[in-house]
Amino acid sequence: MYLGEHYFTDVVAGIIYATASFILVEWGLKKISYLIPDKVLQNRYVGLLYR
Amino acid sequence: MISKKTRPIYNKTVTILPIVFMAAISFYMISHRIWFSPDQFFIFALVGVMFIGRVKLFILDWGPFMLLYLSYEFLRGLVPFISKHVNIFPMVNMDEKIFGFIPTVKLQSLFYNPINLHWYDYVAVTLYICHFVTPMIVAFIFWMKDRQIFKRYTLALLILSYAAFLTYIIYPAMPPWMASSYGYIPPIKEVTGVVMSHFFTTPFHLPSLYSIMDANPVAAMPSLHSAFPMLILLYLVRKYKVSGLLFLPYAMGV
Repeated sequence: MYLGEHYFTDVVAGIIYATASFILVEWGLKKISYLIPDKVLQNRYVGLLYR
Repeated sequence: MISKKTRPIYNKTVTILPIVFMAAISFYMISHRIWFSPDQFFIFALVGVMFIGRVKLFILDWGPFMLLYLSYEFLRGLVPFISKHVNIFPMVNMDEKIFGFIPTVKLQSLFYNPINLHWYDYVAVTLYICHFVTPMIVAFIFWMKDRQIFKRYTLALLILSYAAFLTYIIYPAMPPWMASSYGYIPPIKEVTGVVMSHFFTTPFHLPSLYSIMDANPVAAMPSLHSAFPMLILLYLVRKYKVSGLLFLPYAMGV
């Protein structure tokens, strides 16, 4: 804010977006991981997330 | 029992060396007016992991993340061509409703004097230009210590970036400095350039993909300068519990 790049409103929005992204990855996607086929879960990228 | 895939891949000493190497490079870059971009970080980190013989694993883990992240950075520059309308006053009105004034204008009138710079001017600008490199350093630390949390952290970082990108298309927002330059709000002084002119200089010029990417000047809402530190803080607390709160001053500072 001090440097003139953002308003306070933008800063609050950023904090909300970050928190929402964190919650989505840490809890949201884990909750629906049962919908993901086993073959996908065994993938090196997906599997390491939700094992 | 910790499975083979989740356990730390190196012992403590070997883990710490590439992290120190990257921290030193980052410090040099920032203190010499170089905006250390993620693609440059990737190349230096690649050199760092060569010493511990984990290049293949590094490329496999970081490759998709870097590709998606740099794609976002490239797409971000297209926003001005997609959205022509720019929002100016909703944020100004909201700030005035909350504080009774615009914080940027008030803070600068109270604290900023271009003739006599203060320590907090240097801190503010240093934190600001760390915007690109800090998420990468944290990602690197996570990768060295726990690849599972690295994957989740980088996924969250990508979700956050693309969510912000969609918002920039739907709701382009003018930042205070631009609103000020058009006379919509009281004058705001340019701090970053003035302070950075006091930083060290370097004869090196490092190539970066960012030189061919266009900036999106109407990307004020949401502020990724506040979002990235917040996300980092959440993941550091998740990984290191109370110790993760040591990052709080940085997040608050930004």
